[in-house]
Amino acid sequence: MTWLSFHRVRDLPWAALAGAVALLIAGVFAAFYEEQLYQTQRAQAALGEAQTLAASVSAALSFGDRNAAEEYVRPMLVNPGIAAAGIYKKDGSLLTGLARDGGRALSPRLSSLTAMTNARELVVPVVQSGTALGWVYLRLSPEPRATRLSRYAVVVLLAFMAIFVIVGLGNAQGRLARQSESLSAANARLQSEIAERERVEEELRQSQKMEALGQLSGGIAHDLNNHLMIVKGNLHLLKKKLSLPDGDRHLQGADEGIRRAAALTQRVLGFSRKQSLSPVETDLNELVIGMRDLIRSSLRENIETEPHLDARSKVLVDRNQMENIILNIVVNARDALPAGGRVAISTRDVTLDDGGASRGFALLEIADTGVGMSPEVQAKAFDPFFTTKPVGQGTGLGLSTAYGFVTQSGGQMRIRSAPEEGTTISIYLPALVSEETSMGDRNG
Amino acid sequence: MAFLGARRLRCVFAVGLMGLAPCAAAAAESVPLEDTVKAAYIYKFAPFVTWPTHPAAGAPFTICSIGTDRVSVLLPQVTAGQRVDERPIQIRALAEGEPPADCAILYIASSVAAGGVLDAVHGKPILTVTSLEGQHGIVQLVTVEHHVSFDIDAKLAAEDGLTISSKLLGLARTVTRPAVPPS
Ligand SMILES: Nc1ncnc2c1ncn2[C@@H]1O[C@H](COP(=O)(O)OP(=O)(O)OP(=O)(O)O)[C@@H](O)[C@H]1O
Ligand SMILES: [Mg+2]
Repeated sequence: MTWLSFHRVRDLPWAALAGAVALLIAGVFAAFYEEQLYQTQRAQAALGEAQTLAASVSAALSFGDRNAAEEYVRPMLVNPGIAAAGIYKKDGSLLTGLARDGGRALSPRLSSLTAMTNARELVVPVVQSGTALGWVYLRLSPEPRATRLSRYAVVVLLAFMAIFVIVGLGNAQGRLARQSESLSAANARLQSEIAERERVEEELRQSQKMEALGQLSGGIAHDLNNHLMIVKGNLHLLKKKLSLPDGDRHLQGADEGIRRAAALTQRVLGFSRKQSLSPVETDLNELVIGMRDLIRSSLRENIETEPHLDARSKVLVDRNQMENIILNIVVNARDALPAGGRVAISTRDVTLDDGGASRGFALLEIADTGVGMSPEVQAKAFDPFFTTKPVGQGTGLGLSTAYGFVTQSGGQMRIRSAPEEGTTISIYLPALVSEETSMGDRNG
Repeated sequence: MAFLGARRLRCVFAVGLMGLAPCAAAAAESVPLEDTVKAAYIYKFAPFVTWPTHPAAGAPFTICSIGTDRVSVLLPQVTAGQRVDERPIQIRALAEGEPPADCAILYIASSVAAGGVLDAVHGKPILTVTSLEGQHGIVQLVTVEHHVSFDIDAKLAAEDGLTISSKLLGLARTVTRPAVPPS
C-alpha cells in the first residue's frame, strides 16, 4: 500500500488493516478460482468439439479423403474460440486442416502421438469401433486481453472498494478514539491538578495563619514570661523582708498563680515553635507503656483504654513534649466522654506519599467513642485559643500546641471526627531509618 | 480462411496409404498405385461395418480372397502390422469351391466369375468386395478420374445381416439403400 503515507499506515488500527489484507487475499483467491473455472470450462467445451470432429471425420480420415475431411473441419472454425483444427493420420502426418487468417499455420506433423489437453491446444484420437485411425488437433484462440481483464475487473474492483471502506472507517474510528482518549486524559489531569492546588492553598492558608498567630503569641508569651520571673523574684524578696513563714497562704496562692502563668507561656511558646526541643530516638510503644499509670489516672472509672502497639520503627522526638501532647489528647477524649466509653491508643508503621516519593512513618492514633466534632469545630480545632469548653476549663491550646510540635518534628497531624461518632486524632512522625531498625526488619 | 493441406498431391492414389512407401518410390515400381490403394481400402472398411457375430477374444480378423489379381496379391503386404479392433489381420486365399468359413471380408478377384461366388455366400455375414466393373459385391471398388472410390450396396449388406456405418456411406460414390432402412 505504497499510496498510503507512513503517517496514515501508522494510524491505521490493526484490525482494519488485517481485514483489508484478508479481503485482498480473498479477492485474489476468488479471481484465481474464477480463472481456473473458466479455463476448465473452456477446455471442456473444446474437448467436446474435438471429440465430435473425431467421430465424424473417421471415415474420411481412414480413406484419406481430404475434401470430405475438410468439410468436417470447416464448421469448427465458426467457433471464435478455436484458432485452428487439424486432422492427422495414424502416423502423425497432417491430412488436412484449417487455421484462422493471421494465425499460426498447422504443423505438418504432430509432435507427440498421445491424447492431451491444456489451456492452448488439445489432441484427441480418432477411433472407429476400437480401431485407431488418427488424430484430431485443436488450437484454442488466445483470449482477447479485454475479455480476460473484464473477468478480473469486477473482483479487483470489489476488493479495492472494500479495502478503501475499511481503511476509511478504521482511520475515522482510530482518530475518534484517540481524541476522546486524550480528552478524558486531559480532563482527569485537570481535575487532579485542581484538587492538588486546593489542598496546597488550604495548607498554605493554615500555615500562614499559624505562623502569624505563632509570632504574635510567641512574642507575648516570651515577654510575659520575663515579667512573670520579675514578679516571682520580687515576691521572694518581699517574703524575706517581711519574714513571712514559708507556708503563708497568700504567698502560696501568688506562687501558684505565677507557676500556672509560666506553664501557660511555655505552652504558647510550644505552639509558636519557639520552644527549644531536645529530640532523641524514641520508641513510641515504650513511651505509651511508660505513661500507662498517668493515662489511667487522667481517665475516669467508666472509661476503658486498649492499647494496640504495633509500630516497629522508631522516631526522633522530644520525649517530654510528646508525653504532654499524648496526655492532652487523652484528656480531650475524656472530656468528650461524659457518660464513659472507650479510648483506643494504637501505633503502627505506615507509608505515605511524601511529594512523589513514598516514605515510612510511625502512626500514633488516639481514638475515642465520644461526642465527636461538627465539621465547623473540626476546622478550627487546631487554632490556638479555640475551645468549646467553659471559661476557666479550657485554654484552646492543647491541639494547637500538638500541631506545632508535630510539624516542627517533621510530621503531620490529622483529625477524623463526626458528631456522635467519636474522634480519631492521628499523629504521623517520620520513621527513623537507623541501622538497628533495618536490621530488625530483616530479622523479623 | 487459409485452406491448409488443400494443396493437391500429384500422386492421389497414395493418399490413403499409411505406413507404406512414399509415392515417388511407389510410382517407380511396376505395381500401379491404383491397385495398392484398392488393396489398402479392403481392410479399412472393417471399422465401419458391424458383423452380427462376435468373434472370440484374441481371434484374428480374417480377410479372405478368392481368385487372383494384382489387388489380391498385394493384400498380405498392405495389411501387414495393421489391426482391426486390436485384432491382428489374417489373410486367407480360398481355393475354388472352398467354403468361406470365418471370413469377415471376402475379396473376389477379377480372375473368377463373381456371380457364382456371390450367390454362394449370399445370406452369410460376409462383406464381399469386388473391383471389376459390373461385379456387384456389397462394396464395389471403382476408379474415377485416377481416384479410387467405392459404391456400396447397403440393401445387400442388410440382407446378409451386416450394418454399414453412415460415415462410410457418406464417403461412397453411390449407395444402394434398402427399401426399408434397418432400424
Ligand atoms: N476528643 C475530642 N472530642 C470532641 N471534641 C474535641 C476533642 N478534642 C478536642 N475537641 C474540641 O477541640 C477544642 C480544642 O481542643 P484543645 O485541646 O485545643 O483545647 P481545650 O481542650 O478546649 O482546652 P485545653 O486543652 O487548653 O485545656 C475543644 O474545645 C473541643 O471542642
Ligand atoms: Mg485540650
